[in-house]
Amino acid sequence: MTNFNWWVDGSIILLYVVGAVTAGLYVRRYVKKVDDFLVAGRNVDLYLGIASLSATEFGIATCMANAELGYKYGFAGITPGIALALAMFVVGSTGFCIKPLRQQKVITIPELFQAKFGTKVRWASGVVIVLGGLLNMGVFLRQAGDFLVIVGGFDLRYLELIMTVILVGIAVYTILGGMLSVLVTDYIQFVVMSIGLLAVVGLIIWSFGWETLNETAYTELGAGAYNPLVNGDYGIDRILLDLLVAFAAVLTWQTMISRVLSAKDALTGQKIYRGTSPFFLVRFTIPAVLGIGALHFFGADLFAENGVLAMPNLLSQLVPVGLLGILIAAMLAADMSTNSSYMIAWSSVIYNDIMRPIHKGLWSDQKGILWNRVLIAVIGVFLLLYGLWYPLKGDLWVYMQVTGTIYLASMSVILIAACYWKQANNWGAIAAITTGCVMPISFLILQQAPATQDMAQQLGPYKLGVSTYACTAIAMVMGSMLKNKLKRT
Amino acid sequence: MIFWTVFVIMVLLWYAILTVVVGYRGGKDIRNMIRHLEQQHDEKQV
Repeated sequence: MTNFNWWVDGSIILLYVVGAVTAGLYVRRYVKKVDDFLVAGRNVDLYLGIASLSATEFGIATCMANAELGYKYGFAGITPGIALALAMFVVGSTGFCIKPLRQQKVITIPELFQAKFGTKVRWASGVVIVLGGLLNMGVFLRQAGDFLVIVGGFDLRYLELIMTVILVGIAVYTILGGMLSVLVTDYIQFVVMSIGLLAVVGLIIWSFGWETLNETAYTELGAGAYNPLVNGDYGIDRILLDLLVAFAAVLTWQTMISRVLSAKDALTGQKIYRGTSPFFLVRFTIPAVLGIGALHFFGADLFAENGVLAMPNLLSQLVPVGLLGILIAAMLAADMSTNSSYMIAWSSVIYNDIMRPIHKGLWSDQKGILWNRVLIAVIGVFLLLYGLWYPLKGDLWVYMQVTGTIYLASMSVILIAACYWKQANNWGAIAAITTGCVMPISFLILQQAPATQDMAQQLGPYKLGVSTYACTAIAMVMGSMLKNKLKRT
Repeated sequence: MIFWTVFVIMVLLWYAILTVVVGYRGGKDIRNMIRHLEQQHDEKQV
């Protein structure tokens, strides 16, 4: 059962979608160069940067993943948000890595690596970034489809159709307007998303009562609902992984770093990070409260196996007509901004770094823009096929951490070395890329194969994640030192 | 519990303020960005 009304809620959603897509298409006329297409001509100022970064980093998949954390771990599920906010604030305040990155006027992180480590490392970095990024993003579309089907009360048969319609809508303005369209639509999406999220979380707290939600969290989850250190399912290894992922993402996640690279100068880039840092608390707090609301409404058993679906089921039953339209528009806004930014982020790496040996930076702007458009379309097709095919096992947030680690571990280590370690060289970089890539991919394969599922479960994603970061750093140091030693002898 | 209550209130309050401030100033930033891009392209054409 859902409260969705086609006339009232449908009209609100239609109004939003038409408005956002029209605005996205309108600004495409200002795209003349590859720089305009990929980094909006490096003209982004503080508030637009904050709106865009916030909207990008909050999608339906993120909301569902974080609501699942609230459903399973209570307020302790907000821990990764605290880690991310802290990391972004520290990096934004100190300019650690992002300042030299912006000052070099690069489009992507691998471009920075070329000067220090050579063309091969740049190319390999591009491959790893795209691999990790696309696997990470691959589940977004299905989550969005699941959310809309449940909240809107549509027939499950239409899931694939809804996924396709969402993707085509986003692809149209991203392909035509590039980063410029993404920024303008991100701004609209930030406003719509914020209004919807604040209204819905207010409704949940008002409907159930704050004390009741707290009582539920304590009764169902015990003291671990408030303190991740005493939560048997959370623990120190997971908190450590949260911190490592947070710092690595803030430094190297292409969709985040592209806002710094699009900023009008290094100082504005730092201010965007500082200003956006508290949003990462919002990104986890609002979904976690919705998750705890679902825990109160359904209990812990109903969605024990599929906690990710608890929050949308709650909203479908609790949110009234009218507000449901605003909520769906808000979540569509969140998802459109995320998908469009992610599509352009990975296409920029493919064009700028992986295809570099082909075009050597010599193609005309027109040809470059055309290729970027083709790449975005190809990424769209991949997302559709992967979203339909991949069966998600375990927590959605953990999947996103593990796939992200494929490149976060190596890229963060190499970036820090490139900026601050004079003895770092290409041997170390290649060793770091290989180590950082092989470990999480092996885990994903072990997790899927029936013969090794138990082993993967025993090892767990957190210990594996923390080990990956440690081994990658060691590989970077050992590889670099080995080459330096051989040089001397 | 008191910590999380204060935490959630602060986060929601900050988000509401951010929405108003960014909603107002972000629109200005878009106008400036487009004006700047127009100027860049006009200069190139000249």
